[in-house]
Amino acid sequence: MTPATDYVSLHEATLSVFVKAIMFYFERIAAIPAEIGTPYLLEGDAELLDVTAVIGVTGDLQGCIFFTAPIPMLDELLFYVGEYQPTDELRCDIGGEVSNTFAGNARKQLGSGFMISVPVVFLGKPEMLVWPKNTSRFVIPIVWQAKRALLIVCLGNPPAGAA
Amino acid sequence: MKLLIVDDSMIIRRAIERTFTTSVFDQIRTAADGVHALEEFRKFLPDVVTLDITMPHLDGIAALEEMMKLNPSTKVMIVSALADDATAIEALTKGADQFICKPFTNEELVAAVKEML
Repeated sequence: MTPATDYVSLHEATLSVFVKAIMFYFERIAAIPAEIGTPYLLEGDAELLDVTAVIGVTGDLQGCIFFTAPIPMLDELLFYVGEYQPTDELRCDIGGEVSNTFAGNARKQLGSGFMISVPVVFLGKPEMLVWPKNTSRFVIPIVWQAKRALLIVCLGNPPAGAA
Repeated sequence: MKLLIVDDSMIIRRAIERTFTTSVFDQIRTAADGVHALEEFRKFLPDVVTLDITMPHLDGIAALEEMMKLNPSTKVMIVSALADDATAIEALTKGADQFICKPFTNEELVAAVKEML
């Protein structure tokens, strides 16, 4: 792992946008702040937890954003949004909604040229995960209610000549 | 009054439905994407629609444009995570009456609907 501070690019500003979105989300949903760990640059495969949601990004930046979280954190979030009987379907739903909210809220600073897809959500660890090419991969650790999730930001500039 | 809730997240649909059950709306229906939303819009003739933007098959902005062609007097509130000004302006220009950002509180939702009616 390489400390993010050693990496000179557009990413410091972009990461701070996501940190703000994460903090805002947990404050709003539960009035309990999340703790954000020091972001780091990932070299190699990322650790994926019980449920992972992926948002594709096109436009001014390209790549994707992963939100990966353990079931106990998702169950607690479900409680705060009024769902008291968690199921895998609901866990995937809230995983997707959290990722969509982080990415959508990031447009407040990044603008409408930061175009996002609907989330794709999966349970467990896939046998193979293809990471986007030509992007750096930063991990933002999130601790909330003593449970740890990760936001993995894989973004780069679009290829020259791309719309 | 009739409310149509459109969002690809079941949790959000259910949260909005819980907020407005036993309130001003005596009939509530839901849809999980823009295509289904337009089907329900034609059949159900809602007075108010809460409409997400980022959805599969047909996004909320495209659905909004169709809804306004079908019945421009329907009140539409966009409920979206897209927090940039350009998206809000586009939605309001295309006929939406309100725009609230996710994550929202129940109080914000109720206040926005009251203001719209």
